[in-house]
Amino acid sequence: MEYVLTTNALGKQYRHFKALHQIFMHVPKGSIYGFVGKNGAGKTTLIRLICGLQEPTSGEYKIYGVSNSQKEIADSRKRMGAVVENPSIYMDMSAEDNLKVQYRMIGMPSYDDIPELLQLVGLSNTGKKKAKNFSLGMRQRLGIAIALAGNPDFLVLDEPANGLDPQGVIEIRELILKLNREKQITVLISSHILDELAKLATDYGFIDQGQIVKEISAKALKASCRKCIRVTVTDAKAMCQLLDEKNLEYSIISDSEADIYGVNNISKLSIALAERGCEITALHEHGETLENYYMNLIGGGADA
Amino acid sequence: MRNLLSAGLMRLRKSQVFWFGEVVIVGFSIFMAVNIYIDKRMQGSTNVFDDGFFNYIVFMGIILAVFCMLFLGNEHGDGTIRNKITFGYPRYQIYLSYLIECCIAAFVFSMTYIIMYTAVGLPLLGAMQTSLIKAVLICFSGMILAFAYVSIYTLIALLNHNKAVAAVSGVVLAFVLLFIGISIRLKLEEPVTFDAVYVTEGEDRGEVKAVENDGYITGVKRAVYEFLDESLPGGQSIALSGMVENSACTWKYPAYSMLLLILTSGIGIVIFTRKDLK
Repeated sequence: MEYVLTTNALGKQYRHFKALHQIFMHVPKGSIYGFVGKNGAGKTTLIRLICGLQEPTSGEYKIYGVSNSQKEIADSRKRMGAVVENPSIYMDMSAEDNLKVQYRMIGMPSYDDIPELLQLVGLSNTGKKKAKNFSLGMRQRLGIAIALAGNPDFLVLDEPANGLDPQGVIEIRELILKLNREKQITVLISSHILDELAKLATDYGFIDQGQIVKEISAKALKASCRKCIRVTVTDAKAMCQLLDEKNLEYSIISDSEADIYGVNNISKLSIALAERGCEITALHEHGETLENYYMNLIGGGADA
Repeated sequence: MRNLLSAGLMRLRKSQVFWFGEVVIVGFSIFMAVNIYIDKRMQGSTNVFDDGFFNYIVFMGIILAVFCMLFLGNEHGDGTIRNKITFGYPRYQIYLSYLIECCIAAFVFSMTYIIMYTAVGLPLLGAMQTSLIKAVLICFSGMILAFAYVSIYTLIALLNHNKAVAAVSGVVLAFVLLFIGISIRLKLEEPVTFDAVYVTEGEDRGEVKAVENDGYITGVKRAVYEFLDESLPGGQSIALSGMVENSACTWKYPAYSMLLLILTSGIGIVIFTRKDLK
């Protein structure tokens, strides 16, 4: 598998505090890599390192196979765009002027692509309105547009949905999906909003206390998250007897509720329970979510 | 580097801080020329064109402090400095590009004053009495001094994440440098002796005698004071704007300013290259 970003025993220490310790991370090309961890786990520190804002104290990282200790890392960085924490934009300039400054900075020969870029992020109608008068979502999208100037094929987004309203969250999600699917841009995205991340990510990296706890693809995660049926019945005892007879795995939630795993035919189960005088009053599919998975992984009580 | 400068100059052109600085300079230059003219007319003073022509050099230390801190502080505050680093530009290039942008602003500010003061002052106050060569030398020294100020403020602004703290530090430093300059100059201008009147009891008229001034500094101490006066930006600002009689030492001013510029920029680049940015 080809990786856009890999880290090898990467570490960062601030005086006596180890922010990152022996980080091993692999971001596959073409993926949307969800980077999950609670506050202070080290997500932003890692992003700062790979963006060159800070130097690691141990280990190394590679962007497109080029190590951070090589001079060529500067060329690799030209292939990536980033929005670290807050969008990096000039507040006293319009969206178009912000992009013009960025285009000049990266040496783009003309401004011809700017209208298309503004269209892509949904800011084509902002005119001369200054960024300081933009909503948080608009600023975030302008930040992404700036990161996209120069057509990078690796985009790093640090908490892009932070502080956005539901509409803003949806817009950012759709934009990221569009960039990934239509422009084949690899995206590394750190987020606290796990449900939102679950709708985007193709791969996950879980970080806790400065260490990668687990890396897993969305497919593998889905496979490991078992589906079950949560039923509410009138006679739990009768239900348990039936499930034991049928050798079905289950777990009791309350006096009338249970999760049943591996049920192939709900109608047959319902009839069998009715024959024993037990009625199903409620039934719905229940699956382990990214949040459950994360909580189990980190050990609960996490602030993700 | 060329691209960084190109982007930086575009940013400068669109910067409200820069245009505000220009408005202040224009206002100050007109005020100076008109004020000297009013003095001349109303009080019959012998004020001439030259009296206000070099005054901008003192003013420049303060206005550049405000400009550099706000202009460069925005790069940290808005986070736009990250765009340059993330794109892979070496830190020393980023630092130098900021330094050059602010030096260009300092050049524009200085030229604005010179042009505006000349345009308003020449018809009101008449021609300059200082020789052209001397005036050019003072303006040149003033320009290099402005660049030295810029290098000090760039160092503070780029090494400080907090825009407000950097702005306050810069402005306070500008005033501290000026006060140090004034204090040193006052010390150096102490007379060797001063006249004291001795009145003997019973006589109507006193006798005037020259008394040695204890405040007059001599020897190594004087040499140190003179060195500080010539090398520190505050002292230079006072000397250049006041057109000190001793023009023989004027060549030292740009040399010291250039040295200060190289020194502060070198230190700034070394620290900025190693600094962890947020």
